[in-house]
Amino acid sequence: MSEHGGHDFRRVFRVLTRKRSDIASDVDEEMRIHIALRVDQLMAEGRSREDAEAEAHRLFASGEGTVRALHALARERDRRFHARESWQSWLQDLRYAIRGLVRSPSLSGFAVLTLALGIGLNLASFSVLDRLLLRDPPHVIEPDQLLRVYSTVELPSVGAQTSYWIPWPLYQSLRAGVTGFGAIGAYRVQERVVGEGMDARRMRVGQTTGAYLSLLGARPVRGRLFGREDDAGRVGPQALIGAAYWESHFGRDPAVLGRTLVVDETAYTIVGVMPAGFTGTELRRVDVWVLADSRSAGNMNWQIVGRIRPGTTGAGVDAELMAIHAGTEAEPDWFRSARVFAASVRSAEDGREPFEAVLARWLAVVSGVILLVAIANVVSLLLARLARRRRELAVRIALGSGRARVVRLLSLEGAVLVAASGVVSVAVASVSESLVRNALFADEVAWTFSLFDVQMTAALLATVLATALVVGLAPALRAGRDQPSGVLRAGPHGGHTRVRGALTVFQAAMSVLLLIGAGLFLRSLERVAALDLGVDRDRVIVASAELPRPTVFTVDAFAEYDRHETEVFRRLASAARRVPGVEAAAVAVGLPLDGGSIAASVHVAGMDSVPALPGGGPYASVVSAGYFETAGTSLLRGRAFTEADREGSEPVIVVSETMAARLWPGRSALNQCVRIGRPDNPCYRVVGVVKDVHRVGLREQPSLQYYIPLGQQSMFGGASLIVREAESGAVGWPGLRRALMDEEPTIRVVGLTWLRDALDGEMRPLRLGMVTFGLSGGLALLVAVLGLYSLMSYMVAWRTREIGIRLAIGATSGQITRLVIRSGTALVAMGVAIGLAIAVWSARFVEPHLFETRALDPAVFLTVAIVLLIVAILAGWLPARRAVAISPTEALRTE
Amino acid sequence: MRGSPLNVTSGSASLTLGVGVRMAIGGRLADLTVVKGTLDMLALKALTWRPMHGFEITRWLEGRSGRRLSLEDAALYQALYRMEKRGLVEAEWGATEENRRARFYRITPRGEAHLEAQATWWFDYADTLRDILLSVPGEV
Repeated sequence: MSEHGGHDFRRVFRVLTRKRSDIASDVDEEMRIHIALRVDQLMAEGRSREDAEAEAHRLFASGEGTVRALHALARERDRRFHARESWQSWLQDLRYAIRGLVRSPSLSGFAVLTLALGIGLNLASFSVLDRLLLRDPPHVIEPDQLLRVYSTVELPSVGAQTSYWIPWPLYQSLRAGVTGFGAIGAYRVQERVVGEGMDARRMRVGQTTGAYLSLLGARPVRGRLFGREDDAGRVGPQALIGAAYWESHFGRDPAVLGRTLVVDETAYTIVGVMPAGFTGTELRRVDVWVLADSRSAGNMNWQIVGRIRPGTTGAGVDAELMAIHAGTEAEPDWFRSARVFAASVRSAEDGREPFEAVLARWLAVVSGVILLVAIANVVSLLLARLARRRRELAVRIALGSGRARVVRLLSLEGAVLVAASGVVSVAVASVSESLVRNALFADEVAWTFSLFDVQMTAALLATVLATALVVGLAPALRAGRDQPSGVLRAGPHGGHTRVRGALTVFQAAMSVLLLIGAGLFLRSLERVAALDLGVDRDRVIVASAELPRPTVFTVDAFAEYDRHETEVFRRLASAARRVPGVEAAAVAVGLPLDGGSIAASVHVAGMDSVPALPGGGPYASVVSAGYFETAGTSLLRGRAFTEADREGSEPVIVVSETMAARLWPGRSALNQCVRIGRPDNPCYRVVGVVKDVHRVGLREQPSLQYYIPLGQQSMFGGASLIVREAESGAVGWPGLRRALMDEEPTIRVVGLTWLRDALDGEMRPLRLGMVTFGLSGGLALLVAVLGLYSLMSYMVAWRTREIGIRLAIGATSGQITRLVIRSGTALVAMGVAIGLAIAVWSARFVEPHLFETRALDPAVFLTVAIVLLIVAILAGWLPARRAVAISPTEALRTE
Repeated sequence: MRGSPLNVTSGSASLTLGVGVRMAIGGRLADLTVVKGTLDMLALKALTWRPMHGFEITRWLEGRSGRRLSLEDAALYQALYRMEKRGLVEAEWGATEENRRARFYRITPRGEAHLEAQATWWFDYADTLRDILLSVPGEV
């Protein structure tokens, strides 16, 4: 076989070196031999030479056409050989490139990691951008024709306010008379109770007019939509369920049509199932759609969506909307002066681009820059490697490998690196995408992200190809320019090094800026974590239980309902205490953190009016025995409520620290008399003082707070149960829900949340800032470090001779190390200074989004600067060690 | 069985190639023009003996067929170049017994497989033709 291989090689060599004329003469020779042999044969049979030659030519059919055809065939044959050979040589180069990269694992690892970070972050931000800005709402036909009606209302206290909330009467007028829209519908989405008993849950329910879903062009996967003529009362209550709800509650049973679905005590007939991911024109998920009925028509908050008629302009629609608005008499007074206009259904509630979209765009720009920097770094890493391989490549060229072949080899190395990065980047993308998504939307958005969908795959391939082009070609072109003889003599390229220096400065500055952003948000979150809210936010579960509401609206009926609610909740608290893992449970009306407490004025002897505090008040909460220990609010003086404090016993209250200090300065608050409501109301004796709690959230102004025992005041409706876990995660929520439902079968729904969930609105921007800055900053830093490392390696590689001379004339290795590290650190220090300056300038944009943190927080600035410098020193230290390991004689021989 | 693919037996009848052709044409073989594609098969068959140069193949075919196959010599070279391109044969320059320089062709494993497949097809085809041509009027 080896002999065969030898033949092969020789043939290849011949084929590669042969020209067109060689091929032709080969064919001619073969033909000549054939004819000669034929002539021999014929003459042996007794023919004359002349006769034999004529016959041989005749037999061969050696006309001009035949010869030409044979030449053409032979050429084609050899071309095919050439293609086969060149494919083999590509494979050979590819193997060589991979072997070379595997042989220097640290370089390859760094390059792959850098590119994967850059590509991955871009993929993640592309997926967010795609969902928010690029992708059409799922299952909606020609969404560009859809417009939503907005209104701008001048409010006395607030000023001009734009929103998409439109009163029903305007919708009715538009439906009757608008011509700019071919079809028009109204909807609103609310949290409502869906289902009964243990199955009851709060879900996002869209209430729509008959026309809304059909004008979107959506098609149900089962059943039918609401009819355009089904509006308001002509047909019975109808519901469409989403695919997710169909699956989770009906197990995708096809017989779901015609069954009953209870939404807020109304029984709806299910007429269809909407496809998965369908959210109408909403970004957030919608679980169930119900047909709006006459009862909801009085409501002022509707969103109106229309499909614009072909040929109608936006301005034309706006003018018509205003005219119809002016002619609608039934509108409420405050809405009469409103300006009404139509805008894209992608706009947020205030008619502007959604905050998430702004953020997504910002993230896309930052990740684009990071990718460019990553590419620049890898290119310089490869150039640094090229500098070390000059000899090897010069030898290859000198041996006749051909400049093109060397260029190809280098391009292949780049391509292999990028391909590997593409694979790794998928992991980076999925991790960072889920981070960003959770910070942006929690799970409210109907998200259909998949790494394997068409757009994502296309984005990945496009990014990888573009990257491969740059990364593969840059070093190759560079090597292609070098003359073999010049390579050995060529010195460092000063211009090139300067560019790379500038790149390092830029990267350091960008990392500093992004990391300071991340640091500021991190600091805010720390401050939040350290904040004493007056309650234990982490171990308290809030259970809301809805009882059937009174059906008669009289004072007696409400009083009766109140008594019933008090009695039921006392029993629920006892039932909750028996659930495993529960440490304590209590009833409360007016919970901390969510602003639920009730403003109720008080009167005390010796004061005309109680002092007004910035936080307002005084605010009352009605609580049961055991409330303070359950909520984690410390008792400072006196006693807490007991089971004996109830309806009919002595009226008592507990006041907050601030209230005690403000109403009875310098005296004890205990046993003082407080009259609630009117000055001639009965006296409530103060029996205890507790710590202040945060009433509305993280940002809290001081206020007066007090507590009344359950049963001694009206509940005002809306009691909640609070439950304290013995330890984190000790209470199973289904068990708790079951225990409460078993205790009181008339409960319609049990809602379970954490007490801290009330803070989500305020925590979200902080987490968002933390994640976006942290993610991009972290990746930028990594990319910068890798870049600096490669730069330092490059410098060491090219100053090998100089270092050798210095070592030879007596420089210590310490001096050399310092020299190398200093040159890198100087660049980073410059970048840090620039980054800090920009951070100081841009501080004012960030500060409003922070929590109790100044945008010029010195600790954050200092930490980031120090981190960058330490990293710079480390990045220089490794190449420096390599430099001092050089023996002077060897160093002098390298050039 | 490799190396002598023409010993393939094809289902119903075991016939040599020559007999099949004779049956089909009814005994008149003198001016038989070689059907395109068949030449490939014949040349490959020749090369299963040993590597040969072009003239040797011609002589071999003439010897086997008693010069009854009407075949231009140039056609053989066209077939050989085509098959070389497809990787069915490979060639290199060498010396003949009379010490003349000549291009020698050798069948490749791929060529052997091709020959086997073609021959099988050809037998099936010939059998079918034979059955039709030998059928007696009145038979179903």
